Amino acid sequence: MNLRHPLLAAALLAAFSAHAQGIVVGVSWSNFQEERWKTDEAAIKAELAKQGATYVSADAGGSPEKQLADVDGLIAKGAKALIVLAMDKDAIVPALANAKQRNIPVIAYDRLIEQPGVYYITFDNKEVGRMQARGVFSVKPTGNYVMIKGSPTDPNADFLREGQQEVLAQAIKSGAIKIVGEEYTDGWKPEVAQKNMEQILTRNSNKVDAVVASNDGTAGGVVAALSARGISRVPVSGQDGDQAALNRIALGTQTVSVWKDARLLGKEAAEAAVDLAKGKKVPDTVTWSGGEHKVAMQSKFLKPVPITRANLDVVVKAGWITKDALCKGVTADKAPAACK
Amino acid sequence: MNSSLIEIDGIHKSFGGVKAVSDVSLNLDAGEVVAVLGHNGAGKSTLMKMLAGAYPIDQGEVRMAGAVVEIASPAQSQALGIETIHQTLALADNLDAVQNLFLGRELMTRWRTLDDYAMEAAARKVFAQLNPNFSNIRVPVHALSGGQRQVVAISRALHFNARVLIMDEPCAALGPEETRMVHELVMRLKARGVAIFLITHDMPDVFGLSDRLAVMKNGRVVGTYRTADVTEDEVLGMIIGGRPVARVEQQVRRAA
Amino acid sequence: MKSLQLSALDVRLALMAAVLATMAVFFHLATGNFLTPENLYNIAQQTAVVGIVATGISLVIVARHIDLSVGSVMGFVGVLIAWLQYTLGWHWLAASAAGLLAALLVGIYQGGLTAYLGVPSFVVTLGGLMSFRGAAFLVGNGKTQPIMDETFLRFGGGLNGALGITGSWTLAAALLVLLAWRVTSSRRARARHGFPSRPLLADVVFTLGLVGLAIALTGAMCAYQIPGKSQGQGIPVPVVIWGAVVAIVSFIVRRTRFGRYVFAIGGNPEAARLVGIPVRLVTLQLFILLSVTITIAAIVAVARLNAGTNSLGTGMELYVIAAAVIGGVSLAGGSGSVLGSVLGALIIQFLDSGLLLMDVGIGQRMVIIGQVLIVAVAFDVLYRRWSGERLA
Repeated sequence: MNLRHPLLAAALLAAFSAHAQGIVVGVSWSNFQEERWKTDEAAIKAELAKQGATYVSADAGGSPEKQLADVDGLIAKGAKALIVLAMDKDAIVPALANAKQRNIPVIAYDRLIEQPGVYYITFDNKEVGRMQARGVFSVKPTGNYVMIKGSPTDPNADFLREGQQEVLAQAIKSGAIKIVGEEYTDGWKPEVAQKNMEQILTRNSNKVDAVVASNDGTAGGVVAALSARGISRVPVSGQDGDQAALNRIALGTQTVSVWKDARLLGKEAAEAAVDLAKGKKVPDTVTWSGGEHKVAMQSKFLKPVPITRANLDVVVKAGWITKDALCKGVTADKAPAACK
Repeated sequence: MNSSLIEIDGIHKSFGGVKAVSDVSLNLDAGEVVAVLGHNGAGKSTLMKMLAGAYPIDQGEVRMAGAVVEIASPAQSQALGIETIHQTLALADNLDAVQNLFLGRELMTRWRTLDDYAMEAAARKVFAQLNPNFSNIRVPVHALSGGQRQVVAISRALHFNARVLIMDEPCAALGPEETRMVHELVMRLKARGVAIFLITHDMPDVFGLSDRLAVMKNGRVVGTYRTADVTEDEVLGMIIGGRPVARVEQQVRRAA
Repeated sequence: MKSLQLSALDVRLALMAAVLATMAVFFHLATGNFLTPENLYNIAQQTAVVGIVATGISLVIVARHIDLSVGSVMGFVGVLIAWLQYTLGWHWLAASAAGLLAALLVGIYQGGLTAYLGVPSFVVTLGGLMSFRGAAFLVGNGKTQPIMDETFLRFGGGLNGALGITGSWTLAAALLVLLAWRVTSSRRARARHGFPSRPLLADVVFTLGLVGLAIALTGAMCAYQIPGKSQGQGIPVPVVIWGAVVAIVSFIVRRTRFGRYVFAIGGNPEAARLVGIPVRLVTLQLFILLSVTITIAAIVAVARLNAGTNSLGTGMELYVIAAAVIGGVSLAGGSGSVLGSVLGALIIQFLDSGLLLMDVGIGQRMVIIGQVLIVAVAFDVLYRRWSGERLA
C-alpha cells in the first residue's frame, strides 16, 4: 500500500477510527409483553448513543425458535457484542455457538443463560424473591400462603421462588405458615394467574391469608380474583414497578412491588457490552455459580428496591411514574404519604 | 306471427383467452322444446348459464317478446321468468328439500323473518304434483335418492311459474322410471305453454321430446333443424363432424 | 308410530350434554367441590369470554372460512377500550363504542379481503393474528391499563357483577315462560297447517327437562353467597351476556335469510351462487358479525381482569375453534350449531378447571386437553361417516 499521499493516509486513518468508534451492539428481545422492557430498551439505546455505539435489535415475539434466527440476523448485521433477553434458557444455546465462534461476547440480560463465557447481568433475582416474601411476611406472618409463580420456561421464576422460600422457610417449618397453593403461570399471563387463583381459592374454601405473586402482571390477575370474591386485606407481592401495580399499592390492594430500575440495568448492560466488545474488563464483576448446572459465570448483580406504601415517593422522585398516574382513584382519607 | 318468447342474438363469451361461445343465435317459442346438443366443451352449458344469469354476456343481445332484456344476475333471470335446472342441480346438501326449493327466494313474514310454515305448505303442494310419495322433505337432501333430488330441483321451475325452462342433462343420473316421469313433466309443461331449452346427450330424449334441435361445436351453432326433418345419423354427423346437413333447410325462425 | 324427527345434530348435542354431565360427576367425586355453587359460578364466568367468541366463529367455520386473529383482535379492542378510559379519561360508553368501531373496521378489512378479493381467510387472518397483537402492544405502549369504573366492572362479573336472587329468578321464570310459549305455539301452528309434530310426550319430557335444568342452575347460582354480602350472587352478568349473544345468534341462524345463506354457502358455495345468493356480501357480513361478538367478549374479558393488558387473548383462537369443533361444527363447512359451541366451550372449561382442582400440573393439563380435542374431532369424523353424510 502506497502511503505517499498524506491526504489518502489521513482519509484512511479517519475511516479506520470512525469504524472503531461505531461498535454495533445487537439486542435480542424475547417479547414486549411486560411493560418494563420498553423502558429497558430506551435505557440501552441512550447509553449506546452516549458511547457512540450503534443499536440494532430484534423481537422474537415470544418464540424461542424465532430468537435463534434473530441472533444470527444480528450477527449478520455486524454486531460486535450481543445482549440477549432469552425466551427459553435452553433453546437459546445453539445461537450462542455462532457468536462464540466469531468471538462476539454475549450478555445474558436479566434472564440467565447458563453457558460458560456468557456474561450475566441482572438484578439479584433471588434477592427480589426474598424482598417479595419479606414484604408479604411482614404484614401476615402466619396463615395460608399461595405462591403464584412465573412461567415454567423462565429460570427467573425458580430463582424468585428460591428467594421467597429462604425467607419463609423457618415459618413453614414451625407450622406458622402453610402453603396451600402453588402454580406456575403459563407465559406470565395475568388472566392465567387469575384463573389459577380462582381455582386455588375454591380448593381452599377462600381461606387464603397471603399471596406471594412473582411479578406485577400476575399480581394483577390475583388481585382481580380476590376482589371478585370480596376478599380484601390479603397482602400480595409483585415486581417490575408497573404503573398499574404502583397504583394498586397506593390504593392498598397490593403490598409490595420490587422495583428494578430498568433504566439502570439497561445502562449497565450497554456499558458492559461496549466494554466487552473492546476487550476491556467490566467493573464490579463477580464469579457466580448459583445456576441449575453450577456453571461459573462472570456476573454483575444490581440491587433491587422494594416499593411499599411507605416509600412510594422513591419512584416518583426517580421520574419513573408521575404522581397523577400513581394516585389515580386514591381517595383523600386512604391516601399514602406520597399522594398527599 | 309475433316475435318469439325468447331470442338469443349474436352471443359471444370468452374466458381469458379462450372463446367459449361464438356468435350464437337461437330462438324459442312458447310451448316449444328445443334440444341443444354437442360434445362436452361445445359451449352448451356456458350458453345456458348466461341465460341463467350465472355468467355475464360479453357481446350480443337477449330479447323476450321482442324487448331487449338484461340478465346480469340469477335474480334478474328468475325475475324474467327463466328457471334453470342445472346439471349439478344447484342444491345445498346440508339443507332440506323445502329450504332448497326456496333457496335465494325465501318467503318472509311481515316481521322480516323466514316464514317456514308458508314455505313448507307451498313445498308440499308442489312436491305432491311431481311425486306423491315424496315425504322426506325435512331431511338434508344429501340423504335423498337421485330421483328425489331431481324432484326438488324441478319443483323450483314449477312453483315459480317458469315461462322459459332450461334443463341441463335432466335425465343423466336417473333410472328408467324417473326418466319417464321427467318426460311426462316436459310434455305437461309444453302443453302449459312453457318454452324449454333441453341440453342433452340422449337421442331418445331428443327425438322423443324436442320440436327443434340445435347442434353446437367449439362454441358455434353448427345447425338448427326441425327434429322431424333430420335423422339420428345426421345429427351425430353434425356433433362429430361439425358440418350442417346439406339436404335440409335450416330452421331458424328469425335471421340474426 | 310418529317418528321423533331427531336430526343427526340433535343426537350429537345430546351426546355432548351427556359427556358434560359425566365429567361433572367424575370431577366432583375426585375433588369433592366441583359441583358446588361456588365452582359452577366460577366456571360459568370463566367460560363466558371463549363462549361468546365461539358463537361467532361457529358461523364463520360453517361458511367454510376461519378466523385465526380473534385472540389478537380481542386483545387489541380490549386494551383500546381500557386505554381510552384510563389514560384518556373517556366514559366507558364512549370507549366501548370506539372499541366496537375498531372491531368493525377490522371485520370489514379482513372480511373484505376474503369475500371480494378471494384471499383465503386462513391467510388473511393469520396476518391479522400477528398484526393485531402488535397493535395491542402499540396502544398505551404496552402499559397495563387498569379499569376503575364500577358500572363497567360489572360486565366482568365479580363482586357486584351478578343479578342477585330476585333478578335471577325473574330472568329464569321469564325464559321458561318463553320456552313454554314457543313449544306450544309451534305445535299449534304446525297443526293448523296440517304438518306432523313430534309426539306430545317427547315435547313434554324435553321441556320439563329444560325447566329442571334451568331451576337447578339458577338455584345453584343463587346459593353461592360471598361472605360479607347480604344475599346470594345469582346469575353472573358475563353469563347473561353470553346467553343473550347465544340467543341472538341462534335467532339469526334459524329465522333470517342471512343465517340460511351462511349455511347454504357452507353446504355448496357453487349452488349458492347459481341460485342468486349474494355470496360475497354475506361473507363480509359474517366477518362483521364476528367483530361484534369479539367486541362484546373484549368488554367482558377486560372487565373481568380489571385491566386491559397487551397479552390479553393470546392463544385464545385455539380454544375458541376447539370449542366450536367439539360442539359439532364441521371444519369442512355446512354444519354446526350455536348451542353446540356452548357445550364445546363448557367441556373444555370443565376439563381445565376440574384438572386444576385436582392439582394436576400445567404440563399434564395441556397434554390432556390437547388429546381430548383430537378425540372429539376424530369422533366427529367417524360419526359423520357412520351417519352417511355427504357434502358437495
